[in-house]
Amino acid sequence: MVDLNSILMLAILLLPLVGGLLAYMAGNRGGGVTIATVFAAVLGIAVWSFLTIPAGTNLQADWIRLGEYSFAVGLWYDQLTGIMVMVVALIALLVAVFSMEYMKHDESRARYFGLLGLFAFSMYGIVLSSNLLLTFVFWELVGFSSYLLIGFWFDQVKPPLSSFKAFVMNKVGDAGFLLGIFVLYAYFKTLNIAELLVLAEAGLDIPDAMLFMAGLGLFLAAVGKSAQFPLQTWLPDAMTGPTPVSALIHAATMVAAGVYLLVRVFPLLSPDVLQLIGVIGGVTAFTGAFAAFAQNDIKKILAYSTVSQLGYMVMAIGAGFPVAAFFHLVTHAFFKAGLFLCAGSIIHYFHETNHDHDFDAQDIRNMGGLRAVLPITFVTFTICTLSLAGIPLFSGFLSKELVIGGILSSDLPSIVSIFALVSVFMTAAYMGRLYFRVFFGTQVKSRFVENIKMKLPLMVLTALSFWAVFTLNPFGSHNGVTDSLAQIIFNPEMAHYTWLPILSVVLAVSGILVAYLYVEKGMLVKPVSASKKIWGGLSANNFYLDYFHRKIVAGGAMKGASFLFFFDKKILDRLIDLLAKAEVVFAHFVGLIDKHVVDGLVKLLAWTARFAGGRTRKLQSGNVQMYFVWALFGLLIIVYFLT
Amino acid sequence: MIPIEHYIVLSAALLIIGLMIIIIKRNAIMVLVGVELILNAANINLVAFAKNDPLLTGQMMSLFVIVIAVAESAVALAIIYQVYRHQQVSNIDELDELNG
Repeated sequence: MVDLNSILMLAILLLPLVGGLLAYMAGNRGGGVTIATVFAAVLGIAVWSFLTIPAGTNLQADWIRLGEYSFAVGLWYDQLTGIMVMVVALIALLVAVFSMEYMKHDESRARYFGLLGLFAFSMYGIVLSSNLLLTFVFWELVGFSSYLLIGFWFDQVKPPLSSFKAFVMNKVGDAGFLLGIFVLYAYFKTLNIAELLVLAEAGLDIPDAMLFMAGLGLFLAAVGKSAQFPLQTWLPDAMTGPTPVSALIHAATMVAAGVYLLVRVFPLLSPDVLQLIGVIGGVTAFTGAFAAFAQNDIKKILAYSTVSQLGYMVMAIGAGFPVAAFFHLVTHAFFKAGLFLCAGSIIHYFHETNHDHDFDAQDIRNMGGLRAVLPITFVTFTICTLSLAGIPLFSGFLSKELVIGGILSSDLPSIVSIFALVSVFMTAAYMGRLYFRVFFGTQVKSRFVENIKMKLPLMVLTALSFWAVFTLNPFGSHNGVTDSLAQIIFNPEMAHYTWLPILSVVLAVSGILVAYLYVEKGMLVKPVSASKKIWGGLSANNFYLDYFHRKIVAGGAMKGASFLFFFDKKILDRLIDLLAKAEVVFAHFVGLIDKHVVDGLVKLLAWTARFAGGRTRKLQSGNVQMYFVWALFGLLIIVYFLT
Repeated sequence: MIPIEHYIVLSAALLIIGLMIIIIKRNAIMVLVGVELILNAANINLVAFAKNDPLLTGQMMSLFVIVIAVAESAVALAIIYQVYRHQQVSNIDELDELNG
């Protein structure tokens, strides 16, 4: 059973864990090199696997056997796994290399690189797992390592709070995941995804309500992990972690795990669930883009952008085009990781050159004119921004066209299509605002030489943001990723809208143009500041979702708890008190019966015995003559009876 | 010839008198006298019925009774004397040392 394919799969899964341990033990000096070497090895194995392992290879083992129920664990490999593993491996490697420079002054780099290994291990676990139980285990591990990395600088004020928030928000989704697993296991007695999909193809023998519950549970898992409305508030806060971590976990891989899971189990999702998924995705895409406008922290803008783009992927799932969703996941992973690494490069530059403690290295109001200072970063940021905005010749255009085309040709409510199209404009606009604010402007500074460890990852990600990585036709709706996935995943033919690329490009370009005119030329100031009065607060506070969570959800829960406490104290306790009193009264009554009836009987017996004894002991008077008389009396009686 | 009924009446009278003496009298020696009377009532019966018996088994029996009565009275008198010597008591009612 142990053949080369299994060894390759196990190597991808376990090497990062071993590497993480080694990196931690290698200490601050050798940790970065160790983890980068291991990640490079994993990337090599991932490519090798993709070329050699046939689709449908699996590795199965019994984990727990309880009577007739058994829980298996196992690994599964197909094109979807292969592409995802390569994406994760590549970005993990680039981030590790980038981190060696970014974290070079940190005192606990060894722990950082160890955690990167742990995270990669958990992420490969989700990607490779062949059944939902094992997926859930790694799902939790990913959440846990994300928690550790968000709170990496735990001696500061904010990171521990943010990591805690991320953990709690994820737990809400995880509860849904468990629920879905329970429902599926109860009806199908298996959690193996491949087996479930075969069953789904044959027509599921399960009540509609239960199928809805299972789909809802799995979607809730994705809502938590992929930061969908209304749980998305943890993602912007997660930006307190180190920036390379944000690139790896909170832009490219972990947050994509929810989308990956939905793509995996797509045939299990009922039409009702898909409708819900589409609407939630639309709302997330719109609110994320909207909230990005009023932020001043460069990482928060990117975080809200990630939320918005994840919304696009989820919308595509809801529209019934998992392949489009996954393709957007892949392209987004590259250009968003690129953007985050650019942000990391900028923050690093400020940290290296400005040692003023009050200086906020992440506030875009402190930035300007960086195109001359950080030329490589500038080029990368430009390409990635264009890709994110959906400009032709870049990868984001390809995937976004697929996603929006899918949404338009589905039967989702038309509001979702409107959200999708409006968000295209808004994405371009807020990215334009960020771009022009940071890289243009008058502040002239001397050139800062970016380290090769930073330059290299940026350049690789820049290259991966071009269309040619995926397809030769910059306007084609087919490409390498979608074609290889279409063999294994449900992929309906989508309608073609010739006007759609034109409209979306016009929207994107006008978005960038508006941002250019506003930031660079100082035009449109009046209408913008007027409208700011209306939406500024909403945007800056992300629709007051945090307030909602804190006051309504948490506050409501507290109110409910205090009501229940009151109920418990005043009604339940009183009832129990009453019951206890009644019991005491009853006990007294029983006591009386015991004393007078039962004891009375016993006393009567004793009295009878004493009475009889008292009478008969007179015979034993000690008087010899009386004995004689009694003997004589007895003799006479005997004689009388004998004659 | 005296008819047998007279013997029987005499012996019954002696028996009743002996019993009454035993029950009523308090002095130990008088009780012993009552016992001798009862024994002799039995002897009269034995001798009276032996008149019609050519083998005289009854008379032999009465001789045994006389001998045993002598022995018995000797032992009983000795006991009574010893008790009196120890406790200065000859009244049966007062001999209650063993009465718990």
